Amino acid sequence: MRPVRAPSTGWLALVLATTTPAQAADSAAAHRAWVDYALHCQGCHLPGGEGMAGKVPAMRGALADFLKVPGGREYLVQVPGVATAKLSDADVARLLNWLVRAMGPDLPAGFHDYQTAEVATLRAHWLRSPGPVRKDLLAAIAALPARR
Amino acid sequence: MSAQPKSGRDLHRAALAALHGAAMALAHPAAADTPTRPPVLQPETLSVVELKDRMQPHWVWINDISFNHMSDGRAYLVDADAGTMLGMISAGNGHGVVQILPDGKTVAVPATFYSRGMRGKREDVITFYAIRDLAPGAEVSIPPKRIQTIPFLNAEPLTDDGRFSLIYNFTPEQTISVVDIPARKFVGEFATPGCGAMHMTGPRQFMMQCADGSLQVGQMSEDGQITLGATSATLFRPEDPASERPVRIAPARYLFFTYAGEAVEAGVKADRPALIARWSLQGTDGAGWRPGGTQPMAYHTASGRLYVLMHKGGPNTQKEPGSEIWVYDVAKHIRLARLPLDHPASSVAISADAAPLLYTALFGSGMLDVRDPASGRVIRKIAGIGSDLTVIQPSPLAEATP
Amino acid sequence: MNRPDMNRIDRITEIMARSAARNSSRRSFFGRLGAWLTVGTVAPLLPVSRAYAAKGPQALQPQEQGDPTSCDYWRYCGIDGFLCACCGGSASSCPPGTEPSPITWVGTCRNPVDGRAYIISYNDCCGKAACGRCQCGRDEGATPTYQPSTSNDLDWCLGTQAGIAYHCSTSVVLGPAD
Repeated sequence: MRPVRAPSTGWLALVLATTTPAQAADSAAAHRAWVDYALHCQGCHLPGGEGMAGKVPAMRGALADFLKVPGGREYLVQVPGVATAKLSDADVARLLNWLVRAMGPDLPAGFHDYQTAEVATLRAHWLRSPGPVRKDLLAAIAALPARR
Repeated sequence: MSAQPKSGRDLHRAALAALHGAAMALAHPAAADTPTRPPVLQPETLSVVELKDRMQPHWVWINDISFNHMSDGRAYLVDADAGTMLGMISAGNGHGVVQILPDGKTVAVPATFYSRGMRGKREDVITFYAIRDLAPGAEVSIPPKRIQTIPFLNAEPLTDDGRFSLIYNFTPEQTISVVDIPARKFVGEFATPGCGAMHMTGPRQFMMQCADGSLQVGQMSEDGQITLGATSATLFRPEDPASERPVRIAPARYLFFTYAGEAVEAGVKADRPALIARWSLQGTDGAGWRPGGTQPMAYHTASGRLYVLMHKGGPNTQKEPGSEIWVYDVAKHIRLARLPLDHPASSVAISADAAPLLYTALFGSGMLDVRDPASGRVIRKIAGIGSDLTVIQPSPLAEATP
Repeated sequence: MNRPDMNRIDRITEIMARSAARNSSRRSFFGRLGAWLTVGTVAPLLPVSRAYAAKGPQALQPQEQGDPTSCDYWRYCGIDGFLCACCGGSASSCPPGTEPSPITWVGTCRNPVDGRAYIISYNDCCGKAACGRCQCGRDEGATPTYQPSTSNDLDWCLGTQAGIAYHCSTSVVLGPAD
C-alpha cells in the first residue's frame, strides 16, 4: 500500500489499514476516491465522516447499514449530495465503493460493488426530497434483527 | 440630539436663545439698526424628515455589506436625480436585500443580529419599514438560518404580488423560509436539498438552480406552503456553471449566464422548466471578454435591453468588475453597443421607467455612478455611500407620485 | 510579485488609484473587491496542545516557498477573504481566540516548488469581526452558492458555536491531489 501523506488526522491511515485486500491492492483507486471525498464531501461531512449533529448527517459507522435495507443501496447514489456532485459516474462508483468500506460498519454479505452504469441510471433520478426516504430507511435499519 | 421637537429641553433651549438674542441687541444697539445687516437668525426646533410615502422612479436602494465590519450592514436610499442620500436602514450582520413591496410604500428587510454584536444569541428577523419614515416597525422572527453570502437579489425574493417573502437558508442544509407579508407571520420552512436561489416565474411559482446544473420548479399554495415541482435536464456543464444572478426578461423567463459568457434563456412553461435559447455574450468579436462582478447584469423591460458588465479575462474571473458595459437587444440576441467605463464597476442596475438611469458601483468605492444608458456617460457621482456596495435595487415604480 | 501574477485586488487597487488620481478625487479608494470566506478541518489538524506553553502559528513546510502574507502565495489560489497569516494566525492556524469552523469548502492548488497539486481546505476562523488585513480574491475552482461544496462566496462560519462572524481564512494542506 502506497503511503498517502495527507490528513494528519490519522484517519486515512486507519481506513486504508482496514480496507479489504482487494481494495488495498488498488491504492491508486483508493487515493483517487479519498481525493474525491476530500473535494466533494468532507467540507460538510468532515474528514472522518462524523458530520455535525443537527446539521450534517454522520456517515462514520452508519453508511454501510444503508446497504442492508431495501432501497438503501439506491439512496446512497440518489441522495442530492452524491448525485449532484461534480464527478463522473465512474468517479461516483469508485468513491462509494471506497466510502462504504471506509465508513463502515461491516458490509452486508453478498455486497457487490457499485457499477458505473448502475450509478448513471440512479443519478438520472436523484431524490429531490430525500428527507422522507431517509427517515424510512433509518427506521428499517433500526429494526434490523442482527444489528450489532 | 433629541428627535422630540416639543420636549421640555427644546423649549428650554429656545428660551435661552431668545434671551441671548435680546441681550446681544441691548449690548450692541447700533448693530441691530444697521440696515445692511440681515435679520438675526431665528431659533430653530429640531425636526425629523418624512419622505414621500412611496418610492419615486429614480430612487434606488444600495446594499453596503460593510465587509470590514459586517455586523453593521446598511441599506442606503438615494435620489439619483438629485444626487442626494435620502436615508438609511441599519440591517445587521451580512445584510442582503431590501424587499420592496409592489406599491413602493414599504420595504421588508431580512436581517441577522447577535445579542453581543459579533457573538451571542443569533436572531434573524424581517423588519418592516415604511418608506415615509424609514423607522423600524413590525417584525417577524424567522429561523436563524439566512444564507450568509455576497448578496444576490434572488436569495430573498418576494412573490410578485408582495404576499410572501422567501428566504434562502443555508446551514449547510438548504431550505426556504416563507413569511406571510400582510399577516406579518412566519409560515414555515421547506427543504430544497441540492438547489438554491428562488427566481419567481409566476404568482405562486419559482425556479431554483440545482447543483447538477438542472432547474427545479417550486410551487406555492395560497397559504404559502412550498412543494417541489418538475425538474429539467442538466442545462449547464460542470466546468461552466451559471451564476445565481440572472435577470428576469419576461414574467416566466430568465436570462442566465455562465462564467464563460454563455447566455441561457430558460423559464417555466406549463409548470415545467424549459430551455428557450442559448447564445453567446461574446458574439463574433468578443473573444477574451467575460461577464463578472457581484451584480453583473441589468435588464430594462420596456426597451428589451440588457446591460452586462464585461471585463477582459479568462477562467476564474467571474467576480472581476467590468471595464465596459455591453448592451444587447435580448429579443434579437445581438449586441447593440459597447460602453467603456471611466472606472470599473462590480454592480449594474437600471431604473424601470421610460427615461431610465443606469446605475453602477464598484465594491469598495462607496460611490454610486448615475449614467446615461445610451452612452454610459456619467451624469453624476454620489460619493460616500457606505463602503462595500453590492446589490443595487431601483424603484419598482415607473411613474412619479406627488 | 511579478506582474502576470498580480491578483485581482492588486489590479483593482491600481485601477482605482489611477482613476482617483485622474479625477483628482478627494477620496482614496481601497480596491476591496467581492471577497469571501472559508474552513473545515483545522481543529483535527492542529497539534495537541502542550500544557501552558504558548502555541505559535504553524509554520510553512520546508518544501514550500513564497510569502504567506501575500495573495499570490500558492495555497491561496481559491481564497476569497482576509488572510489569517496577516491576522495573528498563519496559513494553517487561526488567530488567538477565534473558533475554526469545522465545515468549509475544499479545492486544489498547485505547489510551484514540487509541481504537485494539493487538496486545500479553506477553513474560516470565526467569532470576531472581520480582520480587515490582506484581503484577497482569487477564485480558482470556485462555483456559485448553489454548488456549495466548492463555493467561496459562503460564510462557512455557520458551522461554529460562535455563529457567523467571519474573521479570516486559512488554507490548510490536506494531502496530494494527483
